[in-house]
Amino acid sequence: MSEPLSRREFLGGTAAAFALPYILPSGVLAAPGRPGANDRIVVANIGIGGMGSSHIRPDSAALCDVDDAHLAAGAKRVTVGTPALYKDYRRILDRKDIDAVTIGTPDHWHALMAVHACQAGKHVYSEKPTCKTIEEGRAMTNAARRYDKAVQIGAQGRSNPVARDACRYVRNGMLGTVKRVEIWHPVNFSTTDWGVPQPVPPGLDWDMWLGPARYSPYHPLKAHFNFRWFWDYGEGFIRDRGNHALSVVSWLMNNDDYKGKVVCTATGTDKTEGIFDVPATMRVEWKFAKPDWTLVWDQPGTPNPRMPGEWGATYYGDKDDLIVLGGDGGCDTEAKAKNFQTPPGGFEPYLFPVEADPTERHRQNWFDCIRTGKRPVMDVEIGYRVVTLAIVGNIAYKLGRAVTFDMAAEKFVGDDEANLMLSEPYRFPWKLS
Amino acid sequence: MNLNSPSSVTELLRVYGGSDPAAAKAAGNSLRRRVHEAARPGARGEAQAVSRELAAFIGPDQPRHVRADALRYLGFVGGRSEVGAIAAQLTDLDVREDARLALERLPDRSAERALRDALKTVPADYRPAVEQSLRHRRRKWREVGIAS
Repeated sequence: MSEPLSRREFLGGTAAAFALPYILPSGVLAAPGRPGANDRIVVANIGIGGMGSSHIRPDSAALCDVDDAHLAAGAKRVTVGTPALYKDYRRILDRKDIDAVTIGTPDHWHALMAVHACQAGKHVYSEKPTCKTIEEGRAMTNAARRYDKAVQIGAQGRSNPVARDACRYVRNGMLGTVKRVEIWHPVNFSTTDWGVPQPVPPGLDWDMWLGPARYSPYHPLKAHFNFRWFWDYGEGFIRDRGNHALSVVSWLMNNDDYKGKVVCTATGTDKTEGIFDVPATMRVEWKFAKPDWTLVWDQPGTPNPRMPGEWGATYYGDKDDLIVLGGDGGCDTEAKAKNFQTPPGGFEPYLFPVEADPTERHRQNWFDCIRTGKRPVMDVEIGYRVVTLAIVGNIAYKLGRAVTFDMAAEKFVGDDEANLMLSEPYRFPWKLS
Repeated sequence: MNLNSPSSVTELLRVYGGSDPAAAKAAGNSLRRRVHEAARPGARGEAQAVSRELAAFIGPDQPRHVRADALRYLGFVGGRSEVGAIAAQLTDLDVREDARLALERLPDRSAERALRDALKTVPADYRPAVEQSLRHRRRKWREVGIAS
């Protein structure tokens, strides 16, 4: 992938690479722990299949993946120097010359790697979803704060100018009071393959792929992309692309700091064939209080005929409504929102000021925060708050009953079994702290 | 058998371990619903009955996936009566991790005692895993405040 580096950044990067190849951390050139504006940020990439591969930079210092095929493909994308290749992310964390890591592994690894990276003094860009459990989200947030690291979650809707337009429109009251938001999304993937265990292919470290997740025999429909359709790893679209959709809703509804209670119900149908075990269909409803409004995740929902798209959301206000399609790197909304200008004294949503596509803008915001010490636009705590809704929705589905989650206390109200799902015990030797 | 109607956990576990994949999947889905329904607030009697049935399927005479899932569910719904049977699996290489994770989660103090006792019986190389469960359990219980 080409990187829009300025000449100064490019020269700075290559000079550092040739003069001090992975010996001197860039942080020593500026304030303690922070590279200066012109210093190279030495990056390593962990989990480089799929979206994780998009984070490989021409000068990535090291790559890590449990699959040799990913490592070989990723190494070809590094054109400045020769990256070190690892199958165990802890070897990257051991290296003092690396400032920052990207994490593009399956979801069940995100929290562990992010916490361990912060402990090792690295800044983190972790792909969505933020985490798998409430305990993990809290641990990630605490680690980012304790070690003063910039931890950006890859929900790049927060760096998408079209989502910003929609946010500007809604937050400046053009819909009146919004009482209901309905997200529609296609169903989870299906298969007719029953998943008879197969030998682990050469080059894949299956035990490391499983990591903290409970043991399960290898099957190619688990690794790599289709991990999304298993409770043990991905937990379905609601926590996958739903993380994008929920992030945009939270931004537009000014809900990032909501600390009240959420009443959640979830219904749907189980799959009847194949190895995947997440629901076939799913409808989740979250009710917020003060202000009172309802959020719906509908799989498969019905696209709004006024502006149909594969997935999106309709915001229903008492004056008007608005459609927002997508919410990751791709996003669209109606002309009335795109053409809207912020009135004097009105609310202007922040968009990191760099000309780049949303994903690169999101990364550049992270680099800027590494240098300045500011919090990223999708700071880990916001990411944790957003994904909490998906986690709570899945718990309500598994339990088959309504649950009430206290966003301030970060636990369920009056349901001990639901609280047992706040965390997931890890296989040995993996632990968060 | 109608797998979507209330039926015994024992019957569901038998079908779940059987050779018909479609029936096993349906049984697995029904089992999940039955266990979590029994673990709902205020239904301790149901939870105890379901736990007794689950505990009968964690031994080495059952398929590994049945043992693993029965142990996992016991972590949610099990109580003092099942702790001994679960702890006995800590020396079985096939499912000892599933047993340890169940005891780490199981909401009764007897699970903590069982883990402590296991430090004397499990092989030396497995003691750190048991110690990890004890540490996590103590911290989690303190934070969540579940009565046990």
